[in-house]
Amino acid sequence: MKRILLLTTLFFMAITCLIAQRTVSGKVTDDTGEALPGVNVVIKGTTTGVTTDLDGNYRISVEDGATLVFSYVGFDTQEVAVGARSTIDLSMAGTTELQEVVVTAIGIESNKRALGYSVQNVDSDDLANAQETNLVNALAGKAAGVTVVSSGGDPGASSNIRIRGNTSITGSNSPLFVIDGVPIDNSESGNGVGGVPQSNRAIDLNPSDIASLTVLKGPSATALYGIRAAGGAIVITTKSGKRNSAPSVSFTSSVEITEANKLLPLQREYAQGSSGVYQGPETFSGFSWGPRIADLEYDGDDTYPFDPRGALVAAGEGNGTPARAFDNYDFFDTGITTDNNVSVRGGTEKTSYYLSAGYLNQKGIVPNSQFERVTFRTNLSTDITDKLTVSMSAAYSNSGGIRMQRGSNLRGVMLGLIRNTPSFDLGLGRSGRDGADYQPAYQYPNGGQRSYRDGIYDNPYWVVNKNFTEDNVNRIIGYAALNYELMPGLNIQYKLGVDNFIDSRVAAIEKVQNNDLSIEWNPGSVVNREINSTDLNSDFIITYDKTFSGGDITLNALAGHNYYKSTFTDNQTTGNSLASLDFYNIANASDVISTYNPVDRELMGVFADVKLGYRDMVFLNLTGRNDWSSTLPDDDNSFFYPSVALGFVASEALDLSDTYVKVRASWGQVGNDAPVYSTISYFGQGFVGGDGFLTGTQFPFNGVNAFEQNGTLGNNVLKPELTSTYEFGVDVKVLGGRLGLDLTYYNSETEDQIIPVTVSAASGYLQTVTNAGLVKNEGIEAVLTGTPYQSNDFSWDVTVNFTQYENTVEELAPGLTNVFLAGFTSVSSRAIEGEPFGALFGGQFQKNDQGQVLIDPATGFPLQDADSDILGDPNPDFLMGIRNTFSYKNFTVSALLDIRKGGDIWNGTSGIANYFGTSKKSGDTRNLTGVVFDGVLADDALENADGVQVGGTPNNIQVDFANEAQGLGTYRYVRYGFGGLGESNVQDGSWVRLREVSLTYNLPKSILDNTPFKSASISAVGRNLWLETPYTGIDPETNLTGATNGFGLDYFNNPNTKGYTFKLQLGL
Amino acid sequence: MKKYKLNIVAVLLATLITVPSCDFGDTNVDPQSLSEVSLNLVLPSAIAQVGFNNFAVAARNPGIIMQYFEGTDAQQLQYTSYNMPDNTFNNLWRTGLYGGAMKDLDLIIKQAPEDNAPHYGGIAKILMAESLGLTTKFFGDAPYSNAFLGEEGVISPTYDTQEELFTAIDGLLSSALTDLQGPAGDIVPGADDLVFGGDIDAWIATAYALQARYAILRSEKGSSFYTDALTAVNNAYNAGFTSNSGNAEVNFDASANGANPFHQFHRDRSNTMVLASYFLGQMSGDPRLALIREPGTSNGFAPTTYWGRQESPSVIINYAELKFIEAEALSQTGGSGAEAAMKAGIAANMDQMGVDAEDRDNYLLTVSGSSLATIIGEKYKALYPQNIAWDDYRRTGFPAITPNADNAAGLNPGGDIPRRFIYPNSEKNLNTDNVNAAISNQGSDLMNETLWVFQ
Repeated sequence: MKRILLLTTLFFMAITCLIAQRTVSGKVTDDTGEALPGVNVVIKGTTTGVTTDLDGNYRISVEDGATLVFSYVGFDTQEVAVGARSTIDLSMAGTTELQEVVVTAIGIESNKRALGYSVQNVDSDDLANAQETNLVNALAGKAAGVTVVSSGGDPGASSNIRIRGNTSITGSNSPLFVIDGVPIDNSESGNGVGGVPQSNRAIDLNPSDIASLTVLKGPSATALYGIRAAGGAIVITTKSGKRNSAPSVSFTSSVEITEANKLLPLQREYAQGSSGVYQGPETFSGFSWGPRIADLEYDGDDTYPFDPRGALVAAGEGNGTPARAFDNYDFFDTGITTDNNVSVRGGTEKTSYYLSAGYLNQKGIVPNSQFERVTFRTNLSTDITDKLTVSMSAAYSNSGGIRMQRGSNLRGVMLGLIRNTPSFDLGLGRSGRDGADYQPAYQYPNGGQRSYRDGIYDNPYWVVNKNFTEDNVNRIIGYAALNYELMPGLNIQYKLGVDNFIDSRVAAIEKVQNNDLSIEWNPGSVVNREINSTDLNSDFIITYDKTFSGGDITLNALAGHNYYKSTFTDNQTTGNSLASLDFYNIANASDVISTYNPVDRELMGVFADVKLGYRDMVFLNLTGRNDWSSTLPDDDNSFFYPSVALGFVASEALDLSDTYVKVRASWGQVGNDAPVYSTISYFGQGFVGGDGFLTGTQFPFNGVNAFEQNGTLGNNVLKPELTSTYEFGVDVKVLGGRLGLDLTYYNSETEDQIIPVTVSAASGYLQTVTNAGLVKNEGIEAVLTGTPYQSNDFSWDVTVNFTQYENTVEELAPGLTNVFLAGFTSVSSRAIEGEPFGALFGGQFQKNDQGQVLIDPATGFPLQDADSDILGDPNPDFLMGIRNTFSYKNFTVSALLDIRKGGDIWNGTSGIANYFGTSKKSGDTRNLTGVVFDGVLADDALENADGVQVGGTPNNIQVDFANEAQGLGTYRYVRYGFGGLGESNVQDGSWVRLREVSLTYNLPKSILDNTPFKSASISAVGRNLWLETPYTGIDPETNLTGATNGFGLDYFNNPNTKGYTFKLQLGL
Repeated sequence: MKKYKLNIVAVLLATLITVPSCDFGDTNVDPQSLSEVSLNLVLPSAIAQVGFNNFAVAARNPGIIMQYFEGTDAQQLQYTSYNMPDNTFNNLWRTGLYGGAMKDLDLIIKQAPEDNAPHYGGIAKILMAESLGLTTKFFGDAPYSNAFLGEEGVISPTYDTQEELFTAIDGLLSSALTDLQGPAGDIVPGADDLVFGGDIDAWIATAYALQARYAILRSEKGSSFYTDALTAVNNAYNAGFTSNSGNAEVNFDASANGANPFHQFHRDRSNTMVLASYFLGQMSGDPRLALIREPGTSNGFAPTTYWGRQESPSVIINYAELKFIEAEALSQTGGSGAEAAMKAGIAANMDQMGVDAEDRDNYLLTVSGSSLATIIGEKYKALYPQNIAWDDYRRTGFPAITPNADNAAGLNPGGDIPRRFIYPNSEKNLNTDNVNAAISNQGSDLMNETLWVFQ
């Protein structure tokens, strides 16, 4: 083999030597001066040719008198006689068609025209103008097929991104993030139903460093990134300098003011208590089913610990000071985000550089919540010789903040806020940051906590001072790359990338005691956690570009080898029972448990990609990849997956001018491996639990260590899973590109899914990893672009992104019909056979054969069913992002309208607020009498053989919503238990929102000429200024469990925000 | 030239198509876990889980039904109106019983003969019998003969009828006695036995005591079970279970991590449940009242109470219960000494809790008679907070508690005191056909259904 290579190389060199007379070189640019990579340069009348490199440079050997033919997709072909010149620089003019260069696999730039599959660019200005801390949020509404749901409005909160929905039931469905060819980690650790919101690690990227972002959607596009891109890929190219350009300095600065954009309405009419009887904080009562606040007054007892105005008593029995109703939401303050970035870019003859620094500081609407990010980036590229280019990049970031408890958690901000009774003054007359800074509002001088249930639920002002998590993430992402031109058209590249971060967290829960220290509600805890993650990625690639038959046939081929190793350790030390208040160090804990969890995985792949083009009209692309994964069984860990794509530019064949029509079809597969350590069964350190209300006990315990059989049954015959997708698309541009439509239909099936399936515990295991299941995913994506009006001074551009998909779980494992994804035992998001992915599942009412609710003839209230069932579909019917941009002279106005139709959400918050009697709904409806529930009367005599009632008499029994005489347990919102039945709280999460609106003014040259600046602009940006939704809680763009596969859950999620930004950009 | 090119392509294609596996060494071996364990490392985990189960939700929810407790907030309040839907016992079933203690007990039972460790096998069989007993008296039919065969590919085990489960319990206990009364074998339990520290005689007595418990549980199935219960009680006495020092209890740890489940409930679910007024009424004037509630409150979980301390034990079976079984069996078979046995049971409980001897004796003077109502009424107080009270109620109708008027009629039609729990929805979703067969075998999955053993 070696000998063959050597011989071949020698042979090629000999031929090259024989023909070479002299060399012509130069640079090809477009009419704006931007370098054009990949331009075919062919000697006329021969098949000899080269293509330009990434910087547009070419070098070709010619004989005297030769003519060079420059051709490039979408540009007018030009012929240039060489004459005696040795340097020929050329500026090529674009044809009437709009050109779009996209970055596909392994950082290869391609013209979109030449691709047989769907890709979409997102404009880097659109990303920067979104004013989102988290890059993932900035993608919302900007690309067809992309769904973004943020977990909430907390500083640094995570955001969940999906391309074409979910395909893997329990594996990762998140797309792979690739920066300058190096895949990076976008994982998140620690987002559960409670706790604090953590970041997804793409937040470490500074959006202002991004030059271009391409969304690769189907497996045809991602086969080359391997299995980690099974959910698609977000391919980012960061900014770089240009050779031979003077340094240019850019500075941007922005300030955003934020506030909560939507909250669950609360009642402010009824006091704490039960069945109309007032019960004060000293009774620990959680309910707000007491008397009208207007019927109470203070007794003036200044020794009363819960309120300096005294305890509440019936009007006439106190000092005459009427009781007050307080607005719990006064707690929220305005948030402020400042973002400053500076960068320098430029280049010498042989070197280009880009340097940047950024600092972002985000203070949230929850007092004391904060996120900070410092970023530095250096991108360098230098030509060591004519043929050898070295590039290097290093990006350092330090991010983190102070995160606030949320969700299902007695320490949660929203839990304390929404359950708090309106007759209790949380902030003692102060609100927002003032309240948070006013210690008497939340803590007595003796150290006890002041709250409406005397310490059972934390006062939110206590939470923001005492129960918080600080995190500090230091991260370095970098690479070193070599590019060597073996001979014209044949290049080898090697790139070694590393992504390392250390995430250090301290989570504090303060010791909680009541007002007189007679009860210790919580002994307090401190958790130290350190996550250390290193991803190593090595790519060796050979590319070969050649034109044949006088430019009629183009060939771009590459072959490569990839090695990936991930080393992850999670070190956690939990200390319980704090000795002293206000001391959040592990030294303050009286018992300490440590866990250490290392996770390693390795992947190796070889791949090839061949693109053939014929006369700029027909394009064929074949790819193949073989992967070896450490997570599959030792003796069978290899798998291969191919793809094929075909593009046909019909307008070229029909010779249409002014119109561009391309049809494309592709088919591809992508594999996926198993979760780590699933091939054998293990014994883990013993844990004692089995009670959802209790923490449980971790061994060592009682001085003894122990192990127990792990819940996962190992499987040593696992096969890799395979997703097969076919895709058809048409891309039409008419009226000289002023109106365009890019339409894609896709259909994918994921078979042999590797599912950690939950199994009956009676098997001795809780789950096993198995090849089973089939998930179907079918959808339509459309991108409509248009320029309805265009003149010298004024233009109006419209872009519409439309996404519609259906994700169906067709099959699970034999005997398994229902897999838990996320949520609670009462309501959860699940994969259920025959249902949409993520279906909401929970408690419901009894129904007859026609689905009518059965009413208890004894009480007149609907009957609860003993079995849980499907309650809703959290997947949207469709998503649409509509952007209108108007430019008049130096002014630009842009607005992004974001529409989501459908997508159910479980409003668990509302269920609990109704139960406790704090919601506005519970206040407005508590005096309803004579209500007749819709349904039929339950009647055992009408049951069929399956125990289902057939038909029935319509209900005519009148009931009261809250009959004080019958007692609290009979109330409409109390009788079905804590939070009511899931069925009552699943709501439509549709929305129409003005996601972004911006006004930008570019200062004209006439003004700038008198300043040192080359460019300057000021903008005003509004984010989420308008939201219309039938959802009754907070902004329905929310998810309790962050970027997990389960979604559609809202249980005391922290609210989302709207923001007003002022931004300045200067260029030197 | 052309030939070479073809060769290269051929070689490349060949490497692509005939790809051997790649050796990644130990990369996929979990560094956090063991792939094999010795029995002394598994036993503590199984024992602790059995102890935890008995004093967690499996004590609280039957305690709500038996009016030891009443919820004041959140889910506990919901449970108080018998609204215990199919999500209530998922955790208990999955990580407390089958996927908790029982899977490890089964492992020990299977591995003990291979390791020549019969005493480990005997202890595991006793605890398996107890766990299985808890499962069936809550739900009825349940998997056992086809369970714990995941390694053999059985991931949806069939259910045994309750009658078959009682046979299995009997078999486990007698087999345990054979194992424990025989030679010790190669390895013997010591400090890893968190109940008796390796005292095999105490385990033998425990096996007899459990035979008595599961005999009297079948009192509705025939009076011969009273005789069986008496025999077992006497065997237990003869084996040395003659005082509280023979109590089979799991000791918890005076730490936040190792705390008794009662204490954990106080800590994690503060003030969502209190002692019920019925129970407080029964305990009125009883010297134990001051030890089961925080003085001046109705808080039964506080760290100041006997059962709410971090280090409070959890009971598998105690001497007081033996005496009450004896009392009931004597009274129902016409034997003499029932009242004395009952009083010994009360005294045993008071002694364990540390009631002052004079208070104890004064109290005992107030108790007399040996009617079923009296014996079960005293047993109700002495065995607080164990779930035994619910078993006794379903057998005897004592103590005569009044159902809560707030009744989840959809789950407990008729509104009487519930007679079983609804199967967890994990079984309905993951083992659908088998649980449905069990449900139709028993009539329905509702809480008013009377289980075979109580018919």
